[in-house]
Amino acid sequence: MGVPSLPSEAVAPPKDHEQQWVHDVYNEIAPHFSLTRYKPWPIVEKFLGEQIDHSIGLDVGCGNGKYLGVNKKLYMIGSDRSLGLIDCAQSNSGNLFSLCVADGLHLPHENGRFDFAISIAVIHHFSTEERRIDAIRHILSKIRVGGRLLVYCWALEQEKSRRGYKEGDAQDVLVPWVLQKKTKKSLKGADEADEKSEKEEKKVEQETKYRYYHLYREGELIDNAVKAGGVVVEHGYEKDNWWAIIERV
Amino acid sequence: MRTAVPAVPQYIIWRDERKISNRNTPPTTQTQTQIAHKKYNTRNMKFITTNFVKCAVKTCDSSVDAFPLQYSDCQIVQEELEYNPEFIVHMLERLEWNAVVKVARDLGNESLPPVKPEGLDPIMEDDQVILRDLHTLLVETQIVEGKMVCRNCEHIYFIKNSIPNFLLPPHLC
Repeated sequence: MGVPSLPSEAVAPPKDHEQQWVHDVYNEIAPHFSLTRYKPWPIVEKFLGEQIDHSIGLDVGCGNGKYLGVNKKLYMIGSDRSLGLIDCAQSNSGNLFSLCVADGLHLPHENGRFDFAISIAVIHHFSTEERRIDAIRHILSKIRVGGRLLVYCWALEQEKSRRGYKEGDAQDVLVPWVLQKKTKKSLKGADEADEKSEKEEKKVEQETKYRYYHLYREGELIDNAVKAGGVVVEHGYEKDNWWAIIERV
Repeated sequence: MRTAVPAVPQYIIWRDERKISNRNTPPTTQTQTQIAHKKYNTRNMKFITTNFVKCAVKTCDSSVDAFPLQYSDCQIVQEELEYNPEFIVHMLERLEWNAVVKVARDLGNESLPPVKPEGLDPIMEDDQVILRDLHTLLVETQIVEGKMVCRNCEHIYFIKNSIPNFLLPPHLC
């Protein structure tokens, strides 16, 4: 059943590790990845729905921009480290989103300017605890005191999921993404032998890409949030992810 | 308190002659900015975005010169987009007006009033005109290509295909 995950042992400096196992991969799989990301998660939808009309916010690691249009009464700036994903967001945008390419640890925004922020399935891609905490601290710095940040991270405890990660497993993993590269369509009237060889060719064109994840165990996200200087006002588990709403104080 | 606002529209930047021909205010510095008449499929970087982005370099965090960025060699397009007066009224409250004026000047428009217009009401006819013009400036004016330069560290960021890119070279992050 599918391609297994691999343990990730970071030998390179964190930035290089993330370049190889996160940024490069997303740029490569972006269009395919984007097709699979269209349904907003309920807690995120609720969080965005609860923001006061005309609030301004950030979506750090916005991917294909699926959360940027959820609440039309908000003004949001979506950023992502992957130009490939921002290209997808731009195509989905209908010229309504505000987008930029930026690093989550070097956001191009004034401190304290925004009312809220979200960072959905992003912080688990930073490869050291220090960088994960820094990322939360950095996003918090961009919102005003009293403003809230919603963070989602992939959980280690997801025994029922397809991947089957569970307590006690390695937390730093390379997760496969099977990329189906499109091959040229056969010409009409091509004979059977040609079709067969094309099928074989298609198999060859299936390529597995690995993305680095740090799988969060229970309580870890809260611990990171506190170390980042935030106050956790709500937290929980949804669809194989730990989430927390963190207030800037 | 309401600021006195002239009845004549002050907020127009290069109203595209294809859109409105009788109120076209030509840019004062044509050298820096060119109006693109090319059709683009997707655009994104609206003028309003310039009010929410600054230099990404850590050491520029405390510098007042890191925001707004200085815009140069910009290609601008204007296209008609849905007018939402309520959005403009509320966004106006959150805009750094000095930055609006500065960036407009970078792009060749010197006609913005130095003080932010306040208390605009979409029901009032005079205010409608101003809100429309603000809509043209903030939403319909889009930067397709260009450079953004930090006035503090002088780092240059690029806008390509209407997407501003703030990734830093290794020595700056």
